[in-house]
Amino acid sequence: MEKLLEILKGVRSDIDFENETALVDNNVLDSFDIVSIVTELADAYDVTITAEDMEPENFNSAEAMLRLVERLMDEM
Amino acid sequence: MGFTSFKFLVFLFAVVVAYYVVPRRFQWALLLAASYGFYLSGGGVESLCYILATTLFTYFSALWMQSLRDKNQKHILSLGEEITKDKARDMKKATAKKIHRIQVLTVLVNLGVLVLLKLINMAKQDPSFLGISPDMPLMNLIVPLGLSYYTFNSIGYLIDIGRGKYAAQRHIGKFALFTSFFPSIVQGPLCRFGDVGVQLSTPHAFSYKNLKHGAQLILWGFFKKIVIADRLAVITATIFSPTFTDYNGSQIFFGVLAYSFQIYGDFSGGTDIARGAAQMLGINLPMNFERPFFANSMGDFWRRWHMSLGAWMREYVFYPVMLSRPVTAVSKKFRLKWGPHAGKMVPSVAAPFVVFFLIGIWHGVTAQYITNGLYNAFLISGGVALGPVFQKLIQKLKINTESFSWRLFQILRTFTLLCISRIIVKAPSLGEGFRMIGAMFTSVDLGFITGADKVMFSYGLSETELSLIFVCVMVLFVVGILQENGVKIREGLDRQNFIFRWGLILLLFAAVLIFGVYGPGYNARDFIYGNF
Repeated sequence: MEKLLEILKGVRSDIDFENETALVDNNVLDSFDIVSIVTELADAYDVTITAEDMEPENFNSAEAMLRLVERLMDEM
Repeated sequence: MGFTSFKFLVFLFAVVVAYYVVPRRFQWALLLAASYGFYLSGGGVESLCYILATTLFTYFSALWMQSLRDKNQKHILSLGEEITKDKARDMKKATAKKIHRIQVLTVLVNLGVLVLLKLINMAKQDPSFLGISPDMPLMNLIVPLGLSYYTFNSIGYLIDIGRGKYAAQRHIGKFALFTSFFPSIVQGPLCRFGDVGVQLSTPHAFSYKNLKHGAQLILWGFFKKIVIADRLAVITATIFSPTFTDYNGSQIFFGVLAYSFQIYGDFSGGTDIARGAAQMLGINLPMNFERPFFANSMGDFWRRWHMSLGAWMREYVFYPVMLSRPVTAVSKKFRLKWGPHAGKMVPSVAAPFVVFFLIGIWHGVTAQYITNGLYNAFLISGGVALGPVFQKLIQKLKINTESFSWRLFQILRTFTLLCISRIIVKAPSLGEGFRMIGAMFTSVDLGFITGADKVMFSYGLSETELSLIFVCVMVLFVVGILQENGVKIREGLDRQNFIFRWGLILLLFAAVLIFGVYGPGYNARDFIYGNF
């Protein structure tokens, strides 16, 4: 989680990723932020995130993003 | 049968009554019959053939993909312990590949029909277009009612099924209802099967609240469309007429101001009527507008304007382009060579051009629409690319970004950029549009308002009518501010005293009845977005 939060802060330092739970639903993150996050996550964890994974529930919180990454790593 | 016709209101009343009278398990059938009846009256038999063909093609294509996935799943399960995790994954991947091929092919067929019919239509309107002669084969094909809307809904559905987002609809009647649902067929909003398709398949109990709120939304839509938009149309028709080119910049600005409110009243009014009609039937259609005039950037505007198209583009074009292998590969190359910012910038700058080029040609394959699409893409890409520079500038100039004045500046800046966009599309030609934009900033002369000859009242609307429009736009503005601050108008109205509540509704009703542009001998203007 530490590593993930660091990556997220690198993309948008002004957001409280530890506590936000509706990052997409409340438009805290826009689609450009999400693509930046996806690119960083793909690099850091060596996973392939595709358009199919671009569901709001996968990006609404740091925890959800971690779950997504773990699932993708598991599927590798 | 236009949304603002008396016929439509009678039709809707009859459908709503029948909907709650028939046994709930037949509600879908009633809506399907009503939708096809509505479609037939608006588009004729020929249109009906097109929508039927798309519906059947999409229905069977989705079932094909679903059966491949189900068969594979069944096969893996039947092998039980005999199969390793790796082998099962490989089998799934192989099937996913096959499904992906079908998905791409079927989407292309749907898209191909849309593009072909649109091109034929363009060639019919302008014989010099692409050098297509009217005697060529296929030139007698028509553009069926709601072509873009039902095609986009079908494409979204095929992509979702290909991705395995949900199971394909096996009930052909219920699927046909999804592609033809009458409130959303003429001018949207675009619907997702996982949301609206499911709601349409589900029985709905009578709800007085839905009926009341739906009717209120329809009334509000009528107010925007026939009191505001149809009246403003008179001014814009004059100022943007190809025969008059001697308007000064201020007059052009007045014209584009009128057009901005006209197109908002027209499109969002139509959406309100569609959403209201659906709500009376217990169906929640997606939002299409969220007070776009309060947008503080172009990106923000596109999150508030034609939201269902924006969401569609984001899900089915923007993300797939951004995350596609070629784009990520190029992005990686840039990152390695010029650092992380450059790597991020490549897709962020490229994707808006793809999306807005498509939005441009969706409106029409003309130089004006394409230029407007690229203009929007340029502003959004520019905003992303220069974001860090703007941030530094704001810090250097010590601007308080939380202040009202800064927000007002942002709103006015966005509105001005939008005025340019509106002129590009609305001007008689692209060249004329550029001339008008230039004039707007160079020849400022308010004489048409302040002068004794009252030129302002010679565009087709009298002083009384213009004052009326002003009051109505102010009403829109106040409602917008309330909504921006989280007030839910209809819920708030429910909590008011009987006299105040009904007084306000009757006042709005009277305004529509007295000030609406309608009546015998007058044909309500077609919805602008009905043509797409």
